[in-house]
Amino acid sequence: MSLLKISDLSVRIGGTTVVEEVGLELAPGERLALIGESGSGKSLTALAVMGLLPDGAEATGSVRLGGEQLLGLGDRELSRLRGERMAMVFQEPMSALNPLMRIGRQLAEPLRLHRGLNRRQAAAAAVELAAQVGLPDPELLVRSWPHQLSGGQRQRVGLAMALATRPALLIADEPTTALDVTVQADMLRLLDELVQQHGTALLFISHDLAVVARLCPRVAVLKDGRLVEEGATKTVVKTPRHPYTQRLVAAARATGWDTPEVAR
Amino acid sequence: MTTLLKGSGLSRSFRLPRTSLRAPAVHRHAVQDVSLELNEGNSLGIVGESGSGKSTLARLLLALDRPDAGTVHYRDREVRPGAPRKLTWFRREVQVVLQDPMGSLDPRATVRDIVAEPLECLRLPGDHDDRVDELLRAVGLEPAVRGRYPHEFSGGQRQRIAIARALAPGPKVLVGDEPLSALDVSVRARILALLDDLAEAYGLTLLLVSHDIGVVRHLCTDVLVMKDGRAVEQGPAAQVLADPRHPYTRRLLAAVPRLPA
Ligand SMILES: Nc1ncnc2c1ncn2[C@@H]1O[C@H](COP(=O)(O)OP(=O)(O)OP(=O)(O)O)[C@@H](O)[C@H]1O
Ligand SMILES: Nc1ncnc2c1ncn2[C@@H]1O[C@H](COP(=O)(O)OP(=O)(O)OP(=O)(O)O)[C@@H](O)[C@H]1O
Ligand SMILES: [Mg+2]
Ligand SMILES: [Mg+2]
Repeated sequence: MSLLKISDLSVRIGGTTVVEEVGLELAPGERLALIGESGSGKSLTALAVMGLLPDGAEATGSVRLGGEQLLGLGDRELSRLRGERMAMVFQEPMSALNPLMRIGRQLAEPLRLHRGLNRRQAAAAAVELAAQVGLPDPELLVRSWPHQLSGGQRQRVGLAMALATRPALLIADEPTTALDVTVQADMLRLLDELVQQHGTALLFISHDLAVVARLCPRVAVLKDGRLVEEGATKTVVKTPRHPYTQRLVAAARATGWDTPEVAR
Repeated sequence: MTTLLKGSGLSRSFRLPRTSLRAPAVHRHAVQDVSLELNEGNSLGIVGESGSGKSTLARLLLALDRPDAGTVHYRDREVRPGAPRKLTWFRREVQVVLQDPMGSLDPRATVRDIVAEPLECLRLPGDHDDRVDELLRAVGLEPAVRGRYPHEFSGGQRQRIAIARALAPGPKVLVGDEPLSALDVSVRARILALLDDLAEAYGLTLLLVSHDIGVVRHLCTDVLVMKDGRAVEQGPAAQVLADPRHPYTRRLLAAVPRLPA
């Protein structure tokens, strides 16, 4: 039984189709990477699942979470599901943070609402979450405002917020772009651990093939809103079939960091 | 060799929020005594741990923030934060792409107005509309998008709009804070080629904050490594990346994820 089943999903905005007949499936605890060119529709696919498409966007097709049809659900139902069953790490961390709320409260709020912790427990859990994602001086940091954090610190707060509710489905949209590779490695390890521990299904959006290869056994490739290739990550990286994927792998090798003379 | 941008002994600390009224004030030393020189035609990559002070340093060098100690010079003239009017000469030569594209693009302005803004502010001559179209094409966007607003784009597209704006006035120096972080490899290759061309043709000088060692290696002649507010290692890129001296640089290079063969 799949946890998430997307079929024939199309998204139209202002007369243009930006996502076209996409189908994807995720079993509980499974991990799937979604990669593709900038503007190919990765974020909108994710937002369609979360019920967070921008005004004026229209989704057709079917998105089922544990059998329940999400397309067409009301705002209240969706927002309940977002707290209890699914969560998303947004591509631009600032868009997920309320600039007028201290970090600690933003971390604590969902814990009170959806995991039934009282105020004090939630505040303590917020500090713990901040420490878990490697933020320095967590007791002080939770008292900061979002603008006082570095780019990578904000991104880690976003990750902590999404992990806090232990969702059945986690969608992470480019969750490590603002992190240096050592912190990135820590965050991937943490993600790996927690997803495994809680049996969370992960849809991982990234443009970094090397990161994808480390985390997700399966990968799907979007191009111009359409799914052009899907398969085992190993196979796709080794023998990409679609010309776009071939270019992607070649470019990753060319601009990447695996020329032997410098790698040592 | 002409030194364009020069920072000497730069420091900046922030007061952290107190945990209680009685608690003593704690300061975070975001940047501590950092000095650097950016020479014409060269390009400097700043790498380092998340929270190590890279963005703060970039803001100091751009006169977007005031140092507690130290100075910034551009072509031997001191640059201090102040009224935009007094910094016109500086902005004409030094442009910037900030780390958070959404936060740095005016949500109520069209792409055309965003990209043309530096042309207008700096009162540059020429047909601004043509220039905007040319820039959009250069970063891989259709000129037809000029009437759209920032929120109507993907993350990587917004980042490219910020790049187009920064390149608009034909700056001498481009300071980019993670300017390519949201771009997939194929689009990134295109922007890298564009920057290469500009460096070649106009001597565009780059100061690039980036987590992407591949990008730094491709674009930068020099590297500065930051950790906990300090520059722990500095030197020619080829040397630092091939033979890192500081333990943190070694760890950094070892942690770069690689594609399986
Ligand atoms: N609110 C909107 N109005 C109009 N078009 C939009 C809107 N949001 C996104 N688009 C367009 O839809 C397409 C897909 O956008 P999406 O954000 O899903 O891309 P993406 O694959 O996530 O790209 P990136 O890797 O750059 O983040 C893009 O061409 C974008 O310009
Ligand atoms: N306005 C501010 N108030 C308080 N602290 C701040 C402020 N701006 C930055 N800091 C702190 O200074 C330190 C350096 O931040 P900075 O943004 O320069 O880091 P960075 O190297 O750019 O990190 P990243 O790679 O994550 O973007 C961080 O610990 C940050 O929390
Ligand atoms: Mg996106
Ligand atoms: Mg930064």
